Amino acid sequence: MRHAFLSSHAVGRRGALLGALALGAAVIGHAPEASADAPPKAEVMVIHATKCDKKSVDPQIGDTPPALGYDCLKLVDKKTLPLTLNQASTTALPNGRTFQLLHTAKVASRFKVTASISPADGSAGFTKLADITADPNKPFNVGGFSYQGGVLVLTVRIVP
Amino acid sequence: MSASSLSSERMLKLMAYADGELEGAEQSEVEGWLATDADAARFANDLAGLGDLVKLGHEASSAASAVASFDVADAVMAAVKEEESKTAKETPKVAPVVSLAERRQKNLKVGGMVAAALALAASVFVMTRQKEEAPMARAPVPAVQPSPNASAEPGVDVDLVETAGDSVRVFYLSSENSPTTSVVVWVDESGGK
Repeated sequence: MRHAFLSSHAVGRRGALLGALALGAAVIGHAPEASADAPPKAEVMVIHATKCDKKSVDPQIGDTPPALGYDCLKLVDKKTLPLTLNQASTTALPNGRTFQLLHTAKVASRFKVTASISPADGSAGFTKLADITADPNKPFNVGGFSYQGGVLVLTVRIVP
Repeated sequence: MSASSLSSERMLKLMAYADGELEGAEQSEVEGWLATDADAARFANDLAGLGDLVKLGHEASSAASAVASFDVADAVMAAVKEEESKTAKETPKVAPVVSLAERRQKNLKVGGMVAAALALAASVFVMTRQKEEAPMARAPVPAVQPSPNASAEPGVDVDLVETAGDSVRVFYLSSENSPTTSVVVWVDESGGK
């Protein structure tokens, strides 16, 4: 009798716990995303990378992008580009060129964008560089554009 | 002349003649004695009568001895010999007698050898197939091998645009202060603006 009571009591507690977990999961699963309707945006850090004798990284950069032989990194600018679907978003770079992102699709919470750069000679148009599919908040880098004895490196993070 | 007057030699020859054992000159010699020597003739007649008597007695006794001499052992032996002769004749037609246990062991050995051969063939087939399929399992080699400390899932996929030219490359590198892989689309503009 005592054993039966303990068993039913344990089952009851366990069932209540499972029920609470299931309810929590249901609430979380059906909770509307805060930014579901808002267009994503791309946070772009414009970094000037130069070769130097003493390694130095601007503390504003945060996660240091790959050096690729350039040991001194300095944050030049920080911009935000709205990523409206199928509408190009551009930003001017210190070297006079223009960087462009085109949001082409969103597949299973991943963002697909096309990165382009304007020609170095200042002529019109853009040169497509790559089609990039990125998870939200996963940074990627586009760089190598010549600037003042070094290069420009753009660290891009797409924020939903 | 009585029989006692006959020499022992002549008596032996007469006895041999009576038994029909003489031929040629000895037979002619004995026949000459029977013609000229009354004792020899009388002795021969006696031998002949004795011979007949002996012959009759032998014939009479031979039938009895035939019955009396029937021996069960001889009959059995004769039957055995006859059976052996029959068996000898029939032996080639009879299948050899084989032990059932030996036959089972032999079958087991043969079965084991067949099973081993099948297992060997199967293993060779599997190994050959694995070798053939191995290249299909290889992952594509990235443009740049990621760092050993880098995460296998950078969360970013890059497809280069063909119009970008050879100056654009993709690198998967580890960040200096992050355990994840950083993806870099690098445009080589060395010597440019």
